[in-house]
Amino acid sequence: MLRDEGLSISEGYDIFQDKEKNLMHTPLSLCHEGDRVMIHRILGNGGFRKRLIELGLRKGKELTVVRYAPLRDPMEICIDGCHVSLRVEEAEKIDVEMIQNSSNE
Amino acid sequence: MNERPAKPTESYTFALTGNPNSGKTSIFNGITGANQKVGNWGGVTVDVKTGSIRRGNAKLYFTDIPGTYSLSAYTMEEVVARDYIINGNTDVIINIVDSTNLERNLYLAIQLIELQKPVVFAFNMYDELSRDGTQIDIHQLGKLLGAPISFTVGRTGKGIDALLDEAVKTARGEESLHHPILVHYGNDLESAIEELEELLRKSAFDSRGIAMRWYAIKLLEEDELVEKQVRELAGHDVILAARESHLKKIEQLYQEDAATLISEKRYGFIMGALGETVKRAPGNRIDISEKIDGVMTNRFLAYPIFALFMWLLFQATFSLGAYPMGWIESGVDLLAEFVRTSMPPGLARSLIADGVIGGVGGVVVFLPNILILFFGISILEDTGYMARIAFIMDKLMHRIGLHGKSFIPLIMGLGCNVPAIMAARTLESNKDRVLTILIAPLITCSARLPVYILFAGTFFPDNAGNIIFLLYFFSFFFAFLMGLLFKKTLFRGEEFPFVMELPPYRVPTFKSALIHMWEKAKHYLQKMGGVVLIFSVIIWFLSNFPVQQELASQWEQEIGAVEQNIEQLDIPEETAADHRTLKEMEAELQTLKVQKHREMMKNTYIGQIGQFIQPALQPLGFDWRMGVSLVTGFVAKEVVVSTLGVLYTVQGETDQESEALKNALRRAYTPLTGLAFLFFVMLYTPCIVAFVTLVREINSWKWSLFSLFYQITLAWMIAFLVRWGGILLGFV
Repeated sequence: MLRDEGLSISEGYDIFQDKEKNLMHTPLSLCHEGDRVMIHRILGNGGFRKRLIELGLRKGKELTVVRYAPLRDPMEICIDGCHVSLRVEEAEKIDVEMIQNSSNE
Repeated sequence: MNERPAKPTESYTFALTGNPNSGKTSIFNGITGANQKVGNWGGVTVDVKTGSIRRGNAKLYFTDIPGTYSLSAYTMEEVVARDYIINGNTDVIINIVDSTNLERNLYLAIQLIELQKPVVFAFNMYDELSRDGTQIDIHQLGKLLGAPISFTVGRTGKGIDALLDEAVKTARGEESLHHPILVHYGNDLESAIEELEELLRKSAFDSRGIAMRWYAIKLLEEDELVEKQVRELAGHDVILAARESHLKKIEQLYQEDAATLISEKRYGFIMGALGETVKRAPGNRIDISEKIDGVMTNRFLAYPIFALFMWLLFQATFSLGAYPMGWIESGVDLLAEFVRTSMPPGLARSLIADGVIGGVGGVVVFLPNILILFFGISILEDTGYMARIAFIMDKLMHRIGLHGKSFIPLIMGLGCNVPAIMAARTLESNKDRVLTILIAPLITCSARLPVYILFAGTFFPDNAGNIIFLLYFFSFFFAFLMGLLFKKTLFRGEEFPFVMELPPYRVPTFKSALIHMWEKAKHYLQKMGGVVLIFSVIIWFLSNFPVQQELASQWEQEIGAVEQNIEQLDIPEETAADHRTLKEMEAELQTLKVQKHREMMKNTYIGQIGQFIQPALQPLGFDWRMGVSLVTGFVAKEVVVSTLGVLYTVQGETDQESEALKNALRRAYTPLTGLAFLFFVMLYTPCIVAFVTLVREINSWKWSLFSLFYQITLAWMIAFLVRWGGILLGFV
C-alpha cells in the first residue's frame, strides 16, 4: 500500500524530531495520551508549585499522560501509580523531557 | 454491662491525621465505632470529630481531623488540620499512611516528625500492598523515622489493636523507637535555619510545644501563617530581614527558591529511607482503577454514564421512594384520625391532630427520599466516582467560572443545602468558595421536593414528573447563570489551580453507606423533631388565635341554611333540573365553607402577617396564604407544605389530608400561579439552618446579606416573569 512507502520517510523524521525534543523541553500540555515524560522544571507561583510537590510532582519525577478529559481539559497523569488531574493551562507551566513518545499518535 | 469497670486511672488524647483518601476515617470508625462517614473524596471530613474508648484502665480520646497533603495549610481544611495539630492539646499524633503510595504520604509524615511531637504511624491498606508482593521492614523504617509503625487494614479493622498498643505506649513515654529525627537540608539552608531559630528564641516566640526549628523552616518556606505569627513579635523586622537575606542568597546559589529545595531534601530523605527498607515486587501492578477509568472517563462514554448514574439516583430516590412514602402517609393519617375520634373536640384536639401530627407527619413522609438519596451519594463518594465527576465536569464548570470541584457541592445540594455549603470547603481559593456558596442554595434540596410534589401533583397531575424535572433543570440553570454573572462582575481575577487526586476506585462498604444514610436521616429527623415541631405548633397557634366566636357563628348560620336547602331538595325522583340545582347548591356550599375559612384565617395572627407582606407578592398573583407559607418556609422549605396544610384544612374533612389540600389549592389558584409559586420556592433562601451555615462558612456579613438579598430578588423576578409571561402567552 501507499502507506508503506511513506512510513519509512516519516519514521526517520520522527526520530530526528525526538532528538530535538530531548534537547529542548516541552510543556506537559503539549504531550499526548500515553507519553512518558520526566519533569524538568515547574514554573508558576509558589502556591501552585507547593501543591504539585505535595502531590509528588517534582523535578526528576517520571510520569505518564493517562488521558485528557472528554472535553480535552483537564488532563489526567499518573505518577507513582497515583492519578492526578490538572488543567491544561496548568500543565503549560510544567516543563518536561520526553522519555517515551506514544507511538502512532 | 455485667461487671462495672474500674474508674480509668489515666487518659490520653490522640489526633488522627493523614492524606485525603488514606482511609483515616475508616480507622477512626474502627477505633471508636463512631457513626461517621468514610469517603474517597478529598475532604469528606470537614469537621473535627471526636470519639472515645476505654482500653484497660485508660480512657482514650480520638479526634479525626481533616485530611491534608502537607502542613502547608493550603485549603481551608488544611488550615483546620494544621491548626489542630499545632495548637490542639494532643498527646500523640497518629498518622495514617496509605501504604500503596508511601512516597507522597511520607511527605506529610516528615513534617509531622519535624514538629518533634510524639507520632505513631499506621501503614494502612497494607493488604493492597502485600497483594503484589511488596515487603516493608517496618521496624527499620520506624527507626529511620523515629516513631513506631503498625500495619492496618481500615476496612476490616485488622491491626487496629496493635496500633492502639503502640499509641498508648508512646503516650506513656515508653516507646523506645521514639526519638527526634532531623532531615538535614544542606549547609546553606541549615545555617539559615539555625540563625532564624536563634532569632525566634531570642524574641521569646511562643512555639506552643513545637520545635522552634519547624517554625524556622516554615519561615524559609515563606509560609504565610507563620509569617503572620512572627509579625506580631516585637523584633519581627530583624527576623524577617534575616530571612530575606538568606532567601536571596540561596536563590542566587541554587537558582531555586528555598521552598523547592526544602521539599527536594525531604523527598531525598524519604527516598533514602524507603530504598533501605522497602522491597518492591518486580512486575507491574494491575491497575484496575485505570481500566475502569478507561470506560468511566472515556471521551464518548463519560457523559452518558454520568447521566445514567444521575438518572438512577433520581429514579431510586423519587420513584422507589414513593412506596414507603405512601405507607408513612397512611400511617400519619390513621394517627390523626385516631386522635380526632378519641379526643373531645376543642383546642387540644386541634393542636395535636392538626398542629403536631399534621405538621410533623408532613415532614416524616419525605424520610424515604432522603434515605435513598444519601445512600446513593455515599456510594458515589465511597467508590471514588465523585472525583471523576469533578474531572469530567471541570471544563464546563470552568467555563461558567467555577471549579470542577464546585460540581460536588452543587450535587450535594440536591440532598440538602447545608452539607452542600459545607462541602465548598474543599475549594482552595476563597473566591471559588464564596462563589460556590453563593450559588449552592439555588440547587433544589430535598426539602423543596415536598412543595414541588404537592404543587405539580395538584396543578399538573398528568405531567407532574415533567414539571419536577423542569424545576430541577432550572435550578441548575439559574445556579450556573448566577455563577457566570457573579464571576464576570464580582469575582474577576486570577483563578486557582485545579490539581486534584483521582483516588483509586474502591468497592464501597455497605456499612459505610448505611452509616452515612443513618447520619443524614438522624440529622433530618432531629431538625424536624426540633425546629419543625416547634414551628408547627407556633403556626398552629398563630393560625388559631385570636379566637373569633362571633364571626364563626355568623358563617355557620349561612352554611346551615344552604345545607337545609340541599336536604329539602333531596327527593328520590330526580329530574335533570333538580340535579342541576343540587349541583349548584353543593358548589355554593363548598364556596361558603372555603370563604368562611378564609375569613376566619384573615383575622388570625398569621393572616395578619401574610396580609402585611402580601402587597409585595400581589404582582406574582400570590395571596396572603402563600405569603404566610413562604414566611414559614424560612424555617425549612418543607414547612411550606405543612403551613398550607394547616391554613387550608377544613374542619370535618379528615380523610386523606393531602387530597383535601390539593382540592383546596385547586380551588384557590390557577395552574400558572402554582407554577410561579414553584419557581419562587425554588429560588428563595432555602432555610434558616442553611442560612446560618452560610453565614458561618462564608465568614462575612456582607456576603451573607448579599446572598439573602439576591436570592429573594431573583425568586421574585423569575416568579414575575413566569406569571406574566404565561399570561401574555395566553395561559391563565
